[in-house]
Amino acid sequence: MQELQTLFLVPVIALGLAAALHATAYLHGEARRHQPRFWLFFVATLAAMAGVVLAPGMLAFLLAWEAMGLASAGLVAFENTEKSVRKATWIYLLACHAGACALMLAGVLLGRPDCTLAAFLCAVVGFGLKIGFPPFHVWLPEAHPAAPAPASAILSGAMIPLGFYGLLRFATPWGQAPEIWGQTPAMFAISGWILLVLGIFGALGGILFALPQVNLKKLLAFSSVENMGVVALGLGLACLGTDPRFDPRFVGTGPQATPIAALALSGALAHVLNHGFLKGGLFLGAGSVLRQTGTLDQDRLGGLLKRLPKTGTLFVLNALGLAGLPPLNGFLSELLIYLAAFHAIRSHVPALMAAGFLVIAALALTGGLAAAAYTKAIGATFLGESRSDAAARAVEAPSRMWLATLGLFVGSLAMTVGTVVCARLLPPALGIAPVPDALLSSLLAVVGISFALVLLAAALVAVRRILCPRGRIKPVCPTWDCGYHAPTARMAYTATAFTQPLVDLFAPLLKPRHHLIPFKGHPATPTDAAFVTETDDRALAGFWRPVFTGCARLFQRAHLLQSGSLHFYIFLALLAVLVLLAASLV
Amino acid sequence: MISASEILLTLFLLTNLLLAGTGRLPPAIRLVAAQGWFIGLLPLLLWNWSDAGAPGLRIWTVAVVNALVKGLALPALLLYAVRKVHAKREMEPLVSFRVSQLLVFLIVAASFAVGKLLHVNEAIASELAIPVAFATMGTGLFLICSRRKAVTQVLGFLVFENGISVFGAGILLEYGLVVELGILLDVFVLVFVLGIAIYQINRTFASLDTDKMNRLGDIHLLHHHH
Amino acid sequence: MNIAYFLLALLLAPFFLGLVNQTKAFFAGRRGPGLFRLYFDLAKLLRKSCPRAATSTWLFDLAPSIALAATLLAALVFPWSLEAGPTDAAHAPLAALSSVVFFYLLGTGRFFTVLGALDTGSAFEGMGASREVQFSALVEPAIFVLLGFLVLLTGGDSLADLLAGYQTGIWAHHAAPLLLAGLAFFAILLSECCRVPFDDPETHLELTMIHEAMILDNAGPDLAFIHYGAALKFELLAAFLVAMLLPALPFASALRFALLMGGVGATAVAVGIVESTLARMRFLKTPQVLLATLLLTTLGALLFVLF
Repeated sequence: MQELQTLFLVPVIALGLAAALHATAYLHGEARRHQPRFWLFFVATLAAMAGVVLAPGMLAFLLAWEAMGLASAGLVAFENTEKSVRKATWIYLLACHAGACALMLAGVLLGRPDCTLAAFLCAVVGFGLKIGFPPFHVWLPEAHPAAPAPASAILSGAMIPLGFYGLLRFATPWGQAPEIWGQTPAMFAISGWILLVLGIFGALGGILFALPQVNLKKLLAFSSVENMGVVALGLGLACLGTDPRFDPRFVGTGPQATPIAALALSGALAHVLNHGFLKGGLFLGAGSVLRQTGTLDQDRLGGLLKRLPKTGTLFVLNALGLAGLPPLNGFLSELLIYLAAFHAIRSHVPALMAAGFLVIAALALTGGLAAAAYTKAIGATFLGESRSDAAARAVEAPSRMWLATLGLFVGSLAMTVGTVVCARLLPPALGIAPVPDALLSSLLAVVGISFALVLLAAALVAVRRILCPRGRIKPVCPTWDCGYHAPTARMAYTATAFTQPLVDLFAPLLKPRHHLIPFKGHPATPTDAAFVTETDDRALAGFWRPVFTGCARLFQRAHLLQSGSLHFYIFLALLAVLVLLAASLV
Repeated sequence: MISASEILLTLFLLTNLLLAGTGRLPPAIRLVAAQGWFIGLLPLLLWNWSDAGAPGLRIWTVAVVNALVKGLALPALLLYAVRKVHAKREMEPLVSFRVSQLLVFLIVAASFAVGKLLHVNEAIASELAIPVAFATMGTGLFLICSRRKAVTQVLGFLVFENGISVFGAGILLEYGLVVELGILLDVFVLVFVLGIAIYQINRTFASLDTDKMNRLGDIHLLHHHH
Repeated sequence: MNIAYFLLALLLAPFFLGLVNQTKAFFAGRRGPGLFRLYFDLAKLLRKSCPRAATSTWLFDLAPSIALAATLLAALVFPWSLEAGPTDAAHAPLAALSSVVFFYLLGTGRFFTVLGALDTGSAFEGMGASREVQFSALVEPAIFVLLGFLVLLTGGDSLADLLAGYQTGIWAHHAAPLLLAGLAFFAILLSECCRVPFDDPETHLELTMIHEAMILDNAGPDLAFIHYGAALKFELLAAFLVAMLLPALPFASALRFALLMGGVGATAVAVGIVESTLARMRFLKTPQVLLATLLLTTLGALLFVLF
């Protein structure tokens, strides 16, 4: 338990420190009288998060959980003069309270052996509203762009994963009540498949909706849905891998045990940390971009790597890590989950094999799409030419901003080894068979390969430097545009254009909306035309809005009872008493 | 030889998947022709050469007739018909090719599940034959359901028949072949008639869209066309 | 020992692209540029200077070097001697993870190539990069389902086990799934190495390019790095295909390596034949074909499990 608490406290503390440093510069433009409000909610949120992790029992946990939701809502609402921010805060508060309701229900059901499944489902809904399992993720893409960047960093990197902490602690066999799970072995398979399916939807849905977003922070928010999906994939596989009904060789604790659960669980939990550091860095970077340019619209940015070199470089590195590519830490945790899936496939247990193939296919597609989404984010924001005056005039962010991001990136670097440490320490701490030493040393070898990659790249760069000395590298010409001699920034590929083929391919799922404002006036003096593509969150429009309007319509029916006549109310009360009496007699 | 027949059956599966994803008529007809050649080869590859010696005249006849009729004659006729009527050479699917491919894949997967459940181990020449036969029949039916052109539906019918042939070759190696030849004759006549029909329909209505033929029930429309 | 093969493979890489081009020349009735053309080209490029567009930054300068470093490391991870089991001391520490690491290293290379292209701000390079990420994202699941299938087939961990860990008898019993996997990986190879029918390395029109469009601004040693990286990637994936289809061979490792290289040569000729006989596909059609590779690998795994 202590190891688990430590693991979830690390991002809270690290991101808290970095975000505080960043915020001192980020808030610089705000009126002085607003700043104390930010710091009040900021500190309260951090304290509540620490409270959630350290809470001794269910009651204290729920109290801290509720406090965390309220305090962070204050952070989201910081710029409350804007309508979109107020709307986002409203959605966020709704999600928090709905989650808390489900959690209270789960708390009531938890201790009862005959209600394991119901308790688990309530916990999945309650914690899922925080984690952002689809379709409960609706608040993420609303609240993250609305909140100030340091707050988004904490929300995304440290608070969302606390949902997994709760899930692990109260609703899985590795938490507080393993004996109840022992009595209902079917729960392992049920919970495993539920988490696996949520993970697949979260990972693929999250990254698919991240692709078309032009608002940088919205893209990052959807990417959080994706990464939480990856964590859920690992947890689901771990649940399946500990099913006691399978051959004990695959799930047990003996020396011959195949470490499916150990690998999947440590991969999932290490991914929580890796995602926290990397995503925190990205949100802080996005905050610096917003402060220096005044916009997060990627179609109006561009060329910032030249103007904000430090911020930009750190953004590129963090994005590389979060795309799950070597040599950074995001790759290592995904690697652990891959390895668990390979072990599951090799077990020749049909259910495990199916789960293994699903996990592998989902992870691979997610990885490919994440690379697309992050190359887009980097390319449209930091590379090429600036597509607006604001971007063209931007200068490097204050040093406190990029120093905060740098601090988190150092944390990410430490997590390359830290992931291996997680794989070593976590499984025994949670009562699972440990990862074999041979595997741990191969993980270390992968860290070695990562270092080798950096060294080899440095060596090749040195060779190139010798072959073309600095003096011979001259920016001599504009970029190649088919011989066109007056290229403008508007000819470059925008964020929307870059992802258009993929978005079109998945259009039946994404349902992008196109607006065309055609030319008007005489052909010789046409007015400006425009073409805009927007992709909204389908869960909000396609699921929750119908649900809520349906509920509203249902409750409208109850209006019939509200006649305003006292006699009628007394009659209703009488009727109720009579019905209850009759019911008690039967 | 087990291995060779498996490879052949795998190629057969591939032609099904390709058929679902092919947009133009001539390649589709060639794919069905390839299936015909495969069916001709199949009894020879399934034959237990080492134990039973060289196959008899009947097997050879069936192989040659199958290959000639299904691999050569019928496809040639269809290609001729397509060229003659200057039909637009696309398949005009009711569902997109991507979805078609996915659905045919599901049909194939389902046939494997069914083939696994059936457990017809007696008298079976290749384990793969039964699921491949089911998959081919399913693909044929799917093509009939999901494509708009009359020619494509003939193709679907041919694919369906190919599935029956694979089934026959896989299960009833000896006696099935006679039945098989009977069916083949049926199909030959049918396709021949349809080939002529397509030409005639096209001349009359200037279209091969079967959706439009559905409206033939309406007497006014008929008059209008005349 | 593996290091020696590794170095030999590095040396041979440009030769195979020459083989592809020579095959294409043969089919077109030309004399062709010769099998060793790329060596001369590389030597020439290494002597040239690197002009660069005013738009670009350090990312454009470093991208080719980083991409090549990633490809070189992937080549180092590859089991050139085709020796299954723990005897392969050079790779023992990495063992269980080499397969995933191999493909992810190639992914890192692509990530930086794409960023280098976007750094120029050119519309054409943006377009090439956009297509590249689209196609590679769609190929990825097929590759990893294939790895899963190989894990199932051989029961092994490492790349060496997966590629050389099964006995000859498997071809007699599981010809169908292996055939499907081989076909699918051949398509993956064509897509990943930007060959016809997915991309045309010889097209002259920017609008129809993918890989070539991404490197329009590169010159000198950078271009040499990129060309060499492409040749090495082709050799790697072709070697993967050949090793996957060959069962464990009871020969000396030198003979195995020679066989592997022979297989890569045969694959190069096959690619040349494909390029000479097929037209390049419409871009809109490509996703359907890539989906088909995923279906094929899944079908292969399914066949293996069920029969």
